[in-house]
Amino acid sequence: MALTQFSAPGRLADFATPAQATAWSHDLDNLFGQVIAAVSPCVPQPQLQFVNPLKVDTSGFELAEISWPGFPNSLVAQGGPGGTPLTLPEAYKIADTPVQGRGVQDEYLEWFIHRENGEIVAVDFTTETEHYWQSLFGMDKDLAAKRYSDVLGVTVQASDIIRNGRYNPANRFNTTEGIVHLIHTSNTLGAELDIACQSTRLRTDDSGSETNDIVDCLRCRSADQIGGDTRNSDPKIANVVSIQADQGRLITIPDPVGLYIAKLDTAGWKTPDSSDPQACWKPVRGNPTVRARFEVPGRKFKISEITIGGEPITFAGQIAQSVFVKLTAALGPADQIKNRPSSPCSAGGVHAAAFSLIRARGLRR
Amino acid sequence: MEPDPILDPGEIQGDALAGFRKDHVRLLFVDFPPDKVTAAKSWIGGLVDQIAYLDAVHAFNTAFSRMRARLAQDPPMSACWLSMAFTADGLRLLRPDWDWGAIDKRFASGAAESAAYLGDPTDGSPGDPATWEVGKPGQTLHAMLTIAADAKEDLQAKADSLVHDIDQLGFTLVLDQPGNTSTNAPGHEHFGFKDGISQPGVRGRIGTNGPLVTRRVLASTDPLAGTFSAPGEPLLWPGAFVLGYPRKKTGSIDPNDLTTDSIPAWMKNGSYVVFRKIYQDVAGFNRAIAEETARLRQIADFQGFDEKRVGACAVGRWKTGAPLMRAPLADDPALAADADASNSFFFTRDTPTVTYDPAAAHPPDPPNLARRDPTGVECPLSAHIRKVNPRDEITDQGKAARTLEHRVIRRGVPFGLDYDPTSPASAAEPRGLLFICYQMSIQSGFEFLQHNWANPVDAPHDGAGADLIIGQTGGGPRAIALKSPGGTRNSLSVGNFTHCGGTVYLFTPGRQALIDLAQSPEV
Repeated sequence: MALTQFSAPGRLADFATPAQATAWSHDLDNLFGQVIAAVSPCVPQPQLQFVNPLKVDTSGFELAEISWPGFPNSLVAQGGPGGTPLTLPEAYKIADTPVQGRGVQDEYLEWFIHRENGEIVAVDFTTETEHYWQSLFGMDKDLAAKRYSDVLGVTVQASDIIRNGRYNPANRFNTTEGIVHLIHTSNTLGAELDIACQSTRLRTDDSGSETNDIVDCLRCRSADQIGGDTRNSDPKIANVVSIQADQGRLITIPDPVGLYIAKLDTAGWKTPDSSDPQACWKPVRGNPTVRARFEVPGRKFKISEITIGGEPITFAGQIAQSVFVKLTAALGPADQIKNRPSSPCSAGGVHAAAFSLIRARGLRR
Repeated sequence: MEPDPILDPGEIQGDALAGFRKDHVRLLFVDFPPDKVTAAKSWIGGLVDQIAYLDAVHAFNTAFSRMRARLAQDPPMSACWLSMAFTADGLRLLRPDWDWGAIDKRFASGAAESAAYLGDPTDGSPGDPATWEVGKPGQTLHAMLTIAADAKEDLQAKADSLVHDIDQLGFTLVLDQPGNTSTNAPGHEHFGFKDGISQPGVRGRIGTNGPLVTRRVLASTDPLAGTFSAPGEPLLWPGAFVLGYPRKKTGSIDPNDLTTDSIPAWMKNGSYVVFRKIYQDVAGFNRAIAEETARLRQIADFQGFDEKRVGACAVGRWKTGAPLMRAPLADDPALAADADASNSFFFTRDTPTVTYDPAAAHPPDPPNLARRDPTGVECPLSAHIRKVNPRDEITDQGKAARTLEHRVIRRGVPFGLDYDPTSPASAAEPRGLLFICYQMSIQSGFEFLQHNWANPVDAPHDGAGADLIIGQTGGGPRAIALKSPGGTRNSLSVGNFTHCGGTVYLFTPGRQALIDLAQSPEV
């Protein structure tokens, strides 16, 4: 039987009332509906293979994780001023720059660095979307402020997160003094659903051959854009979904819909006291994890005394390089749908649809 | 597009781009005691003109290949080549005044520092750096000489002469490591698989108006001409392997988006080298494959799997070298005999028939073309050749062009006697692979391949499994997802049948830098 209600991301218990939980579910339902409606005209064959789990029974679907490293390759690809190549330390430094660094953290993972005397003492990582916090704020601004307080461990008033009467995603508790959710314009829930939905459309490349390289295909055959082609995440998400759609499967993003922190890979990391570096990694919010902190327990040694392949950690970006972000796809049985690759087709307002909720609430900064 | 860069053939040492390609090798690992620096400089200065540079090695290889094609057998030509590389300690000892600002940090800190990162055990078991014969913590090591020859006697004469000099000059010979191609199956490593089939092509000419460094066999009408030197052999810019030349910009998804690194003059024409002595437990590997085969054959849809096929799933090729992508159900020795055809496949798109340049006088492409296999039915997603060279696949690093950033040029050679299954004593004899590779960055080359792709189960493909051949999990077992022709899933799991006997990170300088090494720092 189909899902009856979407959970909060990471199955968080942030909502104060059942009505709020229902409202979030409606919000997500609408987003699925808009994304599907926008892409459906491009699929004249039996049916679009991306489905809404509230409308289609996906309870027996198989789950498949899609993961990627959280440090932004697009920063390295873009380079420095004038496109000059960046070394990894240079890229780490840019990504670690307070506030401005968030503008390049585009792998659905953003972080905030806690420093003491110039030393990194803790790093908070999040994959929580702005969409969710906008929704929470729209339901009850005091509740949103209370959840800010819960997450950060400091007192936050509703007035702290409001600007011109609206929710201010770039408030100081989510920029200069901490981090609560993603704010990079590409790190959106809409983008996640958009990529997944569009990638179920089967494609041919310029030579007429079937391809699962969706980002590339779109660039050559359609005006629509899916994500960023220099990112780690978007090409991979699109590719994996496309490969599975090619198998004739129905596909969805299962409950709880969201982007998650899969793990911190500390293979080969060394601590000065030979303790397990995983002890420094603490998922602190969500199941699956939407927020985690890297901090030496009891601060018994410095983060800069930990080495990765012999190199001390002097940038949070080095840690982000080993943080794996994931989304989960739910895959129906193979050979259920016999779509053919569709002709070049613009999904038209798909992006408008995907981001309409955000725009409608005036969330763009 | 930019024309092929002009390489300086009298400056670049010959093994990196041309390859010594000899049956017999000796590697001499040398420590210069503190009071012997002047003697070391003098010795190096005397070796500068004995070293085989790109011009000589390329010319020999080209002539050898032409003669072999004419004679249909190896021609009576032989050479004995020498190359020289230094550890970071060695370079610092000889030229402490050099600019180290652009140095590869992993090279500078040394391989032992990276052992845990590479997945080697740290509990004292075999493979722990404390057990290494060379490169272990606390061991002083400054240089590696490679002597490679077609004829055993030439090798012995040259290497013995160098060993004599090393002894006479008061240097310490840390390890004298011989290597030989297999007697029973030349070109195959000890598990029995043909090795070294797939290498990157390199753009560049041997001097102005000279020949191309990598042969080009595709007809100009072939869709891959211009981007591939041969089937499965993408053309990379030479800066990916030799410093001071253009290379694809890191992070870019355009293979021709170029940059040339800003480096001090002493690094020009040099390459980073990784040496890794890998012991192979052949009897253990064979036993594990046999046990896994017996288990799999009890399962519906896997009854057609025999030991050869299960082994091929671990590697991605049959022992002959024929790839599963073109021969998924049974070995194809005829295909394997054509080195280009056996490397002509993509993983995620159909591979078209290759059109060869008529001048290459190449036999036509066999009809069993590789079909797209994005889900790993024909070649498991975690087969060794797919883990470390995903070709056209999108990975956890994004677009396929980014996989080019992690290509290395491999120059491995086996060591030890061939395994003899009829001799009970044979299993315990030491044997394995002297893995050597060249790259512009150890961190993005060898270390990336080992740490980021070979060892993990989730990269480059989620949940696909670890590399059963070189993947290291601190000594533990590894498993990969396996699919039957019908798509039924199971797993293939084997223990760890390789361990490291030593790893050394080196830099092989260009000729001018070698001359400068022999000089005293200017005061």
